[in-house]
Amino acid sequence: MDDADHNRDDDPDASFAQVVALRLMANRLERKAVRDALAQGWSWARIAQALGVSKQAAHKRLSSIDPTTKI
Amino acid sequence: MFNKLKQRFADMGTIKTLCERAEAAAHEQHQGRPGAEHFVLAALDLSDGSAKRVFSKLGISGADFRRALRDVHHKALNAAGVGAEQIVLSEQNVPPLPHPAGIYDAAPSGQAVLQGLAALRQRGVRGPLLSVHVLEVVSAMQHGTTNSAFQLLGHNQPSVMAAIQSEMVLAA
Repeated sequence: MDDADHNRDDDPDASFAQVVALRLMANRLERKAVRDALAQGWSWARIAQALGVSKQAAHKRLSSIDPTTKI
Repeated sequence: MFNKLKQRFADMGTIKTLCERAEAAAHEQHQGRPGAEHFVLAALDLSDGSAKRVFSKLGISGADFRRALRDVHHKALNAAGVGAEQIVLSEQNVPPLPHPAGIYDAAPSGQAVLQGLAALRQRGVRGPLLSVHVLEVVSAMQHGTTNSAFQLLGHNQPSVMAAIQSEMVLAA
């Protein structure tokens, strides 16, 4: 697979690579956003609503985030 | 009988180390569950050195592979319209993932690696489980991040497999 293949819109390998990379980036952005929201006093109900998921789902997946840790 | 048992215990120890290191490699990249590419990184750390020798045959290092993994994702994000600055920002100050607890959980490609390793004995592979076996299982995967990273480093699937086979002949 060379660059020319990577740039083709209909190349499934390139499209899936984009999906994977976007998913990983979304996960990172989500953790950062939740950390910032918690630091600003948002409740889990509010975070869940903003993410479009249930409060339980948000809490289960993201409750380990410490709002005070900004590296 | 005793030798088989001894072998099985040794394999279990190798797999335990492999799983722990793959998990650590995934966490470094802010990924909760290790995928096949993280098992490759973990294999390079195993003491038998056979995976490292395959990389030497290919003229690449673990650092090259790690960089290629990152570049694969960056290139894909660029192709999806994400700018370099946004990518860099998304990678900074990411809250660390929690320490894993409970049952070991790998990403589907990581699970496929473990299943492939378990199937080695059924295929008649003898001797200790080696890091080159991890590379053999992963390199059989036609798609995914590992394959793309090797491609980016200038090695297609047949050339990676040839280097693995030559190492396996030496190990046998």
